[in-house]
Amino acid sequence: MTAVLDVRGLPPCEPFERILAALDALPAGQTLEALLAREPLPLFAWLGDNGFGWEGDHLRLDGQPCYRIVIRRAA
Amino acid sequence: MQLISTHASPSPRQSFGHFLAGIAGMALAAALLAWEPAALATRWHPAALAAVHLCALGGLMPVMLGALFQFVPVACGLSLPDAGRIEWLRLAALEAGAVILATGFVQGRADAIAAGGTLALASLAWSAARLLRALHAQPASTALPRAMRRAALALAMTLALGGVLVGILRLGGELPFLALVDWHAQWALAGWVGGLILAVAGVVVPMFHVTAPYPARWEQLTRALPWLVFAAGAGSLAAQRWLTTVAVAALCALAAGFGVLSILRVRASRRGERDAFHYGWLGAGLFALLAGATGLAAQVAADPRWSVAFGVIALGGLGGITITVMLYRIVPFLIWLHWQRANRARARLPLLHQIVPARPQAWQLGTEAVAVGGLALGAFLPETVCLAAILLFFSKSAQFFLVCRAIREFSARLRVLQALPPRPRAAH
Repeated sequence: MTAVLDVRGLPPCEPFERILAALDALPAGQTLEALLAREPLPLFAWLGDNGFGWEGDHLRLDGQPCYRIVIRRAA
Repeated sequence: MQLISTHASPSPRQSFGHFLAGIAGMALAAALLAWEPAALATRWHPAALAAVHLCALGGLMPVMLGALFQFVPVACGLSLPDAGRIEWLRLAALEAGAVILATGFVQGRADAIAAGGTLALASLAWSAARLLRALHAQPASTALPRAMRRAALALAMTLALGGVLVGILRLGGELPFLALVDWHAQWALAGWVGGLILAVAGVVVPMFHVTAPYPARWEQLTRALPWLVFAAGAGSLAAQRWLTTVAVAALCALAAGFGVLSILRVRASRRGERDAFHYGWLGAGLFALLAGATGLAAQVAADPRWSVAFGVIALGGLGGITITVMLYRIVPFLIWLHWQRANRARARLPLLHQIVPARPQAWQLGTEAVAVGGLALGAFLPETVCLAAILLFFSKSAQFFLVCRAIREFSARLRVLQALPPRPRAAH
C-alpha cells in the first residue's frame, strides 16, 4: 500500500517536517508517495542516513512543475 | 539520479564564520563613513574607495561565499568538497586584504593598495576557481547552475581586472585606467553581485514566499547580463560612448525589471505571515528599482552626485539589503537542517522563524534600509551622511549579535540532540 502526501504550496521546512512525520508513522512494507514543488535535495541526504530508499521523477500537475518521490524503508 | 554527499560539503560553522566576518566588514565600512562623512562627496574620494572595498570585499563577499558553500550542494545538487582549514586561511586573507586595501586608499599609499589587493585577489582567485570547478565539473540540468556559472565567470572577470589595476598602480603603464576601473566595478556589481542575486532569488523567492516562479522569458533575458557588462566596458575602451550608454541602460532595465517582478511575486505570496522576510524582500525589490533609476541617471546626467547615489543604492541597498534578508532565511534554514540530520530521537525542533526572533529581525532590517537610504541621500545632502553611517554601524552590530545568538543556540541544541537515544521505529 502507498500513503500519499501532497506538500506542494508549503514553505520550507514544512514539507520536510511533514514527510518525516509521515515516515515515522509508516507501517513496515508500505511506501510513502509525496508531491513537492521542487526536487528536495536536502531530504535525500536525510533519507540515505536513516535507512530509506526512494525513487523520484519530475512531472507536471495542474499545469505546474512538481516532483514526486516514492519512499520505502530499506530492507 | 545523482546523490550529492552533503556530509563532504563545507561545515555550517565555516559558513557561519563567513557570515560573521562579512557582517563585521560591513559594520567597519559604516564606521569609516561615520568617521569621514565627506567620503560621499565624490566616488573618487579616498575614503569612499576604502568604504566600497571594505563593504564589497570584506562585507558582501564573505557572506556570499559562505552562503554558496551550502547553497551549491543543497539547492543545485552539485558537489562542493570541503577544503577544511584552507577555507579559514582564505577568509583571513580576504579580510586582511580588504582592510589593508582600505588603509592604502585612505592613506594614499600605492604599496598598501597593491599588497591588500594582491592578498584579496589571491584569496578570491582560489574561491572563484573552486566554485567554477564545482559548477562546470558536473552537468547542469536546470537554470540555477547555469545562472551561477555566469555569475562566477563575472567574478573571474572582476578579479582579472582588479589584478590589471593593481599592476598598473605598481608598475605603471599606458592602459586607460579610469575605463578599466569602471569595467572592474561593472563586472563586480552587475555581473557578480547582480548575477548571483538574480540566480539565487529565482529559487529563494518562489520557495520561501510560496509564490509563482519568475517567468521563463525573464530567465532568458538575464542570460544577456554578462554580454551587457562586456559591451559597457568595450564601448568605454573603444571610445564608443553610445555603446556604453545602451549597455548601461539595458543593465538598469534589468535591475528595475528584477525589482518589479520581485515585488509582484512577494505581494502575491501565499505564505500567511507579513513579517520581516516579507517586507525585507519588498525593500530589496524597491532598491533594485532605485538602482536601475539612479544608474540610468548616473549614466546620462552630468551631475556626478548621481554616481555616488547609485553606488550606495546598488552596493548597500540591492546588494546589502538583499543579502541581509536572505541571511535571515539561510542561517535558520542551515541550523534547522543540521539539527534535523542529528535528530535521530525525532525531537520537536523550533520553527525557522523562531531561530532568529522576528521582531529584532524587523528592527534590524528596517534600520539598515533607512541608513542606506540616508547614505544615498547624502550624495545630495552631505549632512545626513554621518548620522546614516552611525545608524548603519549599529544596525550591522545588532545583526552580528542576532546571528551570534543563533549560532550559540545551534551548538547548544546540537549537543543535546546528539546525546539523545534514537527513537524506536514504529512497529505495525
